[in-house]
Amino acid sequence: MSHETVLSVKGITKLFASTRALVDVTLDFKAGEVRGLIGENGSGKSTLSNVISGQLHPDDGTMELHGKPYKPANNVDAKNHKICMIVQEMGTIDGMTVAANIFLGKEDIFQNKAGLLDTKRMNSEAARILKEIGVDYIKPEALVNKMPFEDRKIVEMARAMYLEPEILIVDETTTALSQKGRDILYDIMAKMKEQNKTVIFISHDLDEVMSKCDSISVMRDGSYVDTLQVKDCTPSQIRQLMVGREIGDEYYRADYNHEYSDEVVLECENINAGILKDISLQLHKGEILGLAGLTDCGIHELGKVLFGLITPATGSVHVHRDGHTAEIKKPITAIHNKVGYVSKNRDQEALMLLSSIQDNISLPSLDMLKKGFIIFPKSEKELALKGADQMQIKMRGIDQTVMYLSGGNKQKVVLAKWIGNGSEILILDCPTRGIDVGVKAAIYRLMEKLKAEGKSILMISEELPEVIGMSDRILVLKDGEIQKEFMRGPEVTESVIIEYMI
Amino acid sequence: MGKTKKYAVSALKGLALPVVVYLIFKLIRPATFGTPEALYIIAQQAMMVTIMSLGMCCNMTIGIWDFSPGSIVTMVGLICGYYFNQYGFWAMVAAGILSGILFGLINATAYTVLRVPSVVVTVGLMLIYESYGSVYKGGKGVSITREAGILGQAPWIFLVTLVMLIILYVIYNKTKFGFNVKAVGNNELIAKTAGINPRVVKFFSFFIAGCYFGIAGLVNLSYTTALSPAKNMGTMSVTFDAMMAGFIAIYLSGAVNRVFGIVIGTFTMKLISAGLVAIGVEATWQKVFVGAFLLFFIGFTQIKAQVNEWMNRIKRAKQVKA
Amino acid sequence: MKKLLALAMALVLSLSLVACGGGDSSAAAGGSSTADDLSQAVEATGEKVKLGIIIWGTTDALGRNSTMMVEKLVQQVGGEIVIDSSYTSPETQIQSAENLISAGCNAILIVNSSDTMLPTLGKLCEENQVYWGLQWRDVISPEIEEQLNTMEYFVGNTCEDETEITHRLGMAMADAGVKQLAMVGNPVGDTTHDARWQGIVDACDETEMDLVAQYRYQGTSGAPACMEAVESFITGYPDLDAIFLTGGTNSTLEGALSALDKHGKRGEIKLACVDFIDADQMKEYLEDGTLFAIAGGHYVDPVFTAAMLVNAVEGNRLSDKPEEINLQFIDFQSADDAVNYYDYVENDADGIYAYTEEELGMMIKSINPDLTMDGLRQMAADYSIEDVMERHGNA
Repeated sequence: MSHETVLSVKGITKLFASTRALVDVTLDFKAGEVRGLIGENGSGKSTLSNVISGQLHPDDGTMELHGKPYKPANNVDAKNHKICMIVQEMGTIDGMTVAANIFLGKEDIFQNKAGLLDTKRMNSEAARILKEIGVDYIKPEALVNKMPFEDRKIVEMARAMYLEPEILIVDETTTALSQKGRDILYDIMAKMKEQNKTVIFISHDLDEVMSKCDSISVMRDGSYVDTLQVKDCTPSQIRQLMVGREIGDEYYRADYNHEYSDEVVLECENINAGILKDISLQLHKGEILGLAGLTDCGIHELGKVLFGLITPATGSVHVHRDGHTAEIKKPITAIHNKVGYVSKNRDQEALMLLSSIQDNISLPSLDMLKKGFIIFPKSEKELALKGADQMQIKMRGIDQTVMYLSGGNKQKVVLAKWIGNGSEILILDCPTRGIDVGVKAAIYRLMEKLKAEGKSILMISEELPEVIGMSDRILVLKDGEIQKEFMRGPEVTESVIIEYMI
Repeated sequence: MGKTKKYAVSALKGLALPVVVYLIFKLIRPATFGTPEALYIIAQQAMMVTIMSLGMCCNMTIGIWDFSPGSIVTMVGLICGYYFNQYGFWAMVAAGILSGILFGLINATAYTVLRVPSVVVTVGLMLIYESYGSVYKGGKGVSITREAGILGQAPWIFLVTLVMLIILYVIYNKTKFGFNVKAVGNNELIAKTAGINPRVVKFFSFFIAGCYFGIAGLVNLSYTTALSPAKNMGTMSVTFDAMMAGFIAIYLSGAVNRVFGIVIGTFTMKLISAGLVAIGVEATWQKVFVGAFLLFFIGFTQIKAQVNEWMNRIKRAKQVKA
Repeated sequence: MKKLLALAMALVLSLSLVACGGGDSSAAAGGSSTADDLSQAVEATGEKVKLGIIIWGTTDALGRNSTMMVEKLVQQVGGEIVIDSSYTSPETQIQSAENLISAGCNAILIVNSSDTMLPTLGKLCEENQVYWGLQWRDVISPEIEEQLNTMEYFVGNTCEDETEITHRLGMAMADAGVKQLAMVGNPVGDTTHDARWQGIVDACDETEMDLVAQYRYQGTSGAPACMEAVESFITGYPDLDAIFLTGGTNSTLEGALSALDKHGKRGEIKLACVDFIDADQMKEYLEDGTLFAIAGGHYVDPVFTAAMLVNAVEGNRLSDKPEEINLQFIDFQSADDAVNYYDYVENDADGIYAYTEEELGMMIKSINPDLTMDGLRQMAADYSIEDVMERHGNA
């Protein structure tokens, strides 16, 4: 198998206002390899992939494709050069069929002489592609909005694969996918490699990158650092390159004690809702309680029930605070009793993307801020500034729109809003989803700090290392039922827990 | 077999609405309401609005608000009447088609060039068209002979509508343009990254709408045989009729194709207004009923989902106890 | 602090504007009070008449010819008219009046869409010292009438007995054997149409005739709307005998006829209405029996209020209080009636109308010094086909 250079990036620089997103980046991509691209948020890896896929134009530098100058005018032009990208938050178009989504913008290929579209051929062609990538259970004529989220992501992959790309860029797609979706994507990547094509794989999950890639290019602060062959390096080596300092294994909690008060602050009894069957649990003051399980085992629904977002068929949720008890039936009761909730779907459920950082942070605290009927802008700003400062949000200013922040910074805004509100209990659903190591570590430190202050945290996560690394106590769910309870300790390992999950 | 059955079920779902409306009025007035002759008249009434609403279909899918259709229909009617009186029947038909194309181009160009929200553009154009109507050829209003109004009489009025319906069905469901309309309407950003030019799609959407309004104007004049210029947004009520039919079609779109939903929508609207007169509702209250119906109908799907969820919870609780 | 300052500045600025406005109007008051001083004199004050007319439109027969007559009248004293048709509701008629006043009109003639807007309009005219009067309208509400009577610049109104004429037409229909009647009219609140509506309701009460169905236009009337209403009647009431339109202009009558035609009911269902339409069609419809009866001819109505206004502006106001002038409707049930009417009273083809320019001059005191209020009133009361033929039958 030849490993000749397919794409060379030479001296690319990209500026956003005064920020230097990319500085003189030079690297090569080879045929027949899966190249990992890794770096902290703001390191420039997404900017680089956007330059390659034609969505951004570099301020300086050149690119060469198969030795010829390559200067894509836009992403359509890039596609014509057989360079395709699957992105994290892209999506399909509702109200249209799977086939129509796959061939979006390419409908002409099915036009007959009368200028009409041959929908039959369109469907059979779509079926062929879906079968090729191993998902023939998805029907070409089905409407995408009636399909689960993960299948829609697969339709996007099919859209990219139809063009038979030479270079496929996968940008943080896996965070949104379940194991099934990931496996399909990995298969596609393996197949591309077999056909001597190139895959550029961007992910936050270092373990994933290590296991799926042949080589890894590391970026930091807009600059290219180095490319390492996976077989000759270790995760800690790469982490070190990413942050430019030693992180070591001080990532999770170092201690193994599981001390927390006996005082129960949040509890539920005999919850039946959707998949959940007869769930009862208690969260104590100063406790970090981990909820572990597969995506669809009910852990995410349980978080919503506890916050009052889902009304259970039977059972009740109670919060205890300052000697009085309240039943949570609606989120407003939860908020009044200082319960905060961080959703898994950050962009849809946790943030007002078009509003400023300030507006997002102060939202749950408006009641607290108002004097009579009036909220003074000054006190709102103070609260937001304090929160932003505490969380070390990287921003131009407090009035910046949340939409354009990186994933890690967005999550910091979400956390700042509940901490600013003085929440005593935090329900965190996948708090580190789609976030790079630096911010991840910051969130873990924050959790420890909150615990030390006597606050209680319910952490729902699909990532076992962090559940094991952070929780005082772990509840494992399977098919909506609690299977097992673990106390923190060195004997609790991934392999032990997985037994109960699957 | 499976396919036939599927089509039968969806047809039944779509027709449920007019049937229910019909039965309500029939129950109140069993003797006089809804005789076959009466339904035949109501069907003829619905045709002009159907053509208008078909024309608005693409724009509504894209999410463009167009308030000019009624004024175009009136203006085209006046032009057609003038050409009939000057040059005869075929000149009238040609005038209808050509002026529709012209207004379509004006609308499309104004929207694409000015880049202001569609509401602003089309309200402005509506005022211009209406005012131009009242100065056009002295603004006296026109009338044509009954014989010249053949396109407004059965069976021709049905044939014209059917042709317009088939054309739109093909455009909407079987062409690249139709696919692009749906893509731009649902998510412009994704459509753009897929290489679709939303501005081009919107331009043609407006253009097709204009052509349909031209035909609607011709049919309208043929149907009424007389027309006077409107002013002060007097054309809005017919625009709203067509829009409401479009809304009904959107809500029926789970069961029947948008294009057929529009026909059901216009027929239902006309059935309601005829029914309210027939059961002797006092004049002022008729509009209240129409408004209440729409609110109820559009709110219905929402309520249905809530009731479903509630029922499911009760069922589940019972299972748990058992 | 800056904001506060800005706010204060804005306040001061707007107050000063109000003050300026006040200054202006007091100046105008001075000007016209001189006119008042001279009001006893027979001589014209020399103020040029600029008459603002608020009317639905001037494209239909009624709107076109009435405005034309008023214009001819005003031209007798070298004045001009300004037309505003931009209103959509009683409230926006006030805006129309404001527009006309700021355009320099010194008199306003309005066909008001409701009674309730009159006190507001009156106040506006009093403040600006502009004479005003109503055409085709009577004031129904006694409270409002009382208010108007105290207003210095309100000259009065000209109206027809709307209830009486529809009652007369209604009785004629009952006599002709009509049992089931349906009616179409403008939205409730239009005083003229309400009065006409009432006449038919009264006639139904007094006879065997039943008002079985009714329809009021939503917003504006027109052929399509009227057609839809008539079709609804046909579909709902197979035994319907007659349809009455409280207003036949704006192509509504044509719309109704189209509907009857289309569904084979022409001649079978009798049609009657108020307001004349274009001559040729009316003759034809009366001849072939499609039209059972029609009343109108009141296009001359605005002339009388306009005459009161012109005299007032010129300083020769005929009465020191608001006056009401009553005009007779002309109604016909046969084509012969129509022939004479269209030869002598409203002949667009030959330009012959109810009053010649000379006759119009007789309504203005600066031209006809012998004119009195009673004299003007009598001219309106005498209005009929015969009256017109007598005055200039051979013109």
